[in-house]
Amino acid sequence: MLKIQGPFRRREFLTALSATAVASFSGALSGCARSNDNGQDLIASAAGVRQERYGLAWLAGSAKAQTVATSLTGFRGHEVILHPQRKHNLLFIARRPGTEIWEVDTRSQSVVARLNCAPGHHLNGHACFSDDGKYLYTVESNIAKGEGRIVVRDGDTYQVVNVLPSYGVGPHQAKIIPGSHILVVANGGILTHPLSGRKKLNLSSMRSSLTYLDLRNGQLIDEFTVPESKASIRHLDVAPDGTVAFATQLQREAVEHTEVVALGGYHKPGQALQLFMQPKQVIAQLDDYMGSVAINRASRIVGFTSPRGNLAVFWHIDGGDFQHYHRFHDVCGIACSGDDQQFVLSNSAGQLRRLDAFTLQEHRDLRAEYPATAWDNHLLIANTKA
Amino acid sequence: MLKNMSTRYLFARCGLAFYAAAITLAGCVGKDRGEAPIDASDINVALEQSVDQTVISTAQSFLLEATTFKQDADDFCENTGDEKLARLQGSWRNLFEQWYPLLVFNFGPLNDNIIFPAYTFIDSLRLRGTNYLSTVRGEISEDLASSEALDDQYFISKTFQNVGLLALEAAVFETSTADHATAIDHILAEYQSQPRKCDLLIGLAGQIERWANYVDQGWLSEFLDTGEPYRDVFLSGDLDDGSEPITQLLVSVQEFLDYLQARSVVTVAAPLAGNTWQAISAAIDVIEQLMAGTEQTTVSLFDVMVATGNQNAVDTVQGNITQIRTAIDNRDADMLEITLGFLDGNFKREIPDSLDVELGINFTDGD
Repeated sequence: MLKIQGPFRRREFLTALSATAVASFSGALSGCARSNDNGQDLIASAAGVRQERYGLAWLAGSAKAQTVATSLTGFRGHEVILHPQRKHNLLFIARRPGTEIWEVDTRSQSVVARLNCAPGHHLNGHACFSDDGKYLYTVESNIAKGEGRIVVRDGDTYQVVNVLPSYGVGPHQAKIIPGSHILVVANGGILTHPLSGRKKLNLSSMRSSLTYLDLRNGQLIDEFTVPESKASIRHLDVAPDGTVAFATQLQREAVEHTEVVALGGYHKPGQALQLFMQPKQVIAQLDDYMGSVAINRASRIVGFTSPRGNLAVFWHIDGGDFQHYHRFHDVCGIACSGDDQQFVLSNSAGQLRRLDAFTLQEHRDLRAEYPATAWDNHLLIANTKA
Repeated sequence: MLKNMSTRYLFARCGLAFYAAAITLAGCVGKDRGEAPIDASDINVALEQSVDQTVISTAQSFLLEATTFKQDADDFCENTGDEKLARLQGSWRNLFEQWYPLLVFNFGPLNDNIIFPAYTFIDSLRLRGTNYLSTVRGEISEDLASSEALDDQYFISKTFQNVGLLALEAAVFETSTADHATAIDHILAEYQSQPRKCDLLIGLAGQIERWANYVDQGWLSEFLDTGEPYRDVFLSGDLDDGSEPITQLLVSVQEFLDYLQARSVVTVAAPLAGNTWQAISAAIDVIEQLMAGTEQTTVSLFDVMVATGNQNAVDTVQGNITQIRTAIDNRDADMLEITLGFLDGNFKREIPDSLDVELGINFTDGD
């Protein structure tokens, strides 16, 4: 059991969670795909090593003969999400501290919309849609105030309709709790400023948190912190039952001990935060860094990637038992196949690997490589069937 | 792995260099390759020679020192005496100083098991920079006090914190008494009065030799269940984690340099023997050899860098190595940390850029 920052408003949380029928969950925007079994999986990611190669890349064509299509952007992206209402369209979100989001139609391979973050803000690389696609929530930072913001936009026109606090500094990834009006936000706690690039300005006082917001009124429903104050909660994924798995990045330069620190954890509605504490030998190999996370809803196993450790690691979100690991150079992207039978991993060498979602053994015969495509941090697998 | 570089471009480069600078000419024509110019494609030749002449030779040298140490331990315990103890201590220092060059290449057999990697059983400090001296001391005291048989199986079952170089250092450089006396006569007296301490010494020495042999055999005979030596697996480019061999090699060096800085190794390691400066110096020698080659080398990684127009990067790397050596000569820990950082940066930027190697965007610049 871990420290809960502030009062734990369990009843409030559960009420909000049940405000919308869970059956309405579609989840097409989660790290793990929610396509039906007949759908064609679309695999997409930000890609590119140099500015002239930065862009959105996705696999096009039949399952047997896929080629990489690319939309060059000139700026480095981070997360890619599917538009729930325009199922062949992807949103490409600029990496921190970028300001642009592009909507790309994968059929025509054309850019159909470009939007900028709110004035005085910068993006933090992540965004998500409401379940019904009516709203887009972009994770931003107010530069002058150094505070996190969730900017609510019309899901069709992208007009800003509201700006909510994230209740933290340096918010990074955010996702909707399925079937609810709740947004869970990973506030990394690290202050940066575009004028100083990605320099960390507040390591001594940083405060990371996992916050739950009621999107109807912007109120803070609950807030959690991890015991290690220098562990920056950055990425998360949400299971259909509302279980949130999160990944942290330890700011070791600000830590005065050499102990192994748990980097991943999960939170179930109405319960305390839990960390994946074991096995320490494996956690030590992650080099204080997890880059992405995906929950498989079939096996209820959560996978985390560590490009610094060249490892993907897996725990069960019901009980927290360690499951397995997989060595993969510079692995960072992780998502689930459309039928949820596989985890798919990507790396910057353009390689894709598939692991059985239950046994976590690799399907070596399904290895794929696209040498000209350096897959960046996050991988999206989505169903494009309208 | 490499950019396609036009032959005309390379010849133009070499031709210009011929008239411009002798040092560049040397890079273009190679060492013992007659008139055949070195070009970017020679990186695989350079890699193979680096592995055979530097990486594997460090594994062999470490095995040799581990075997020597075991023999010296056996000899000491057959007939204890102060001269033999002094020789044993010298043998430990040699073993430690041969370990750091091998630790530069912390992949393959040295790190083939994520739960129980071999390197941790040799050097517990390397895992997280945690100094387990008090743990080792407590374990030695318990072993001496207990009646359990100190046989091979007993030592095999020990956790990594309780074996390896640090445990041996505590066994040969101090007593197990509360004052941890370091005088030769006190240490000798303990060995003479407590026969179990020799059992302990020989058992720990046997484990180091076993791991050294494991690493050597892994490189040269059979790696895990591949049926091939790791040398061949590595040079074939078919690494299980999907990385390119040159990437793995450069990242390993970079991580070693990062480790030396991040864990302030020079002030923490070898707390009793006090020869960490020498060990780091030996590691820097090996890093330079990796890049510059040996007398047998026909194409070195530096040669490829020069041939691809990156003489400045070579000069930068060599300049930083010189600065590290100056810091070592002056026993200046602060300057050592700074200069190691420079070389660390070279292995992240100048060297991979010159060799057109991608270390990985997520690895180097994630979010």
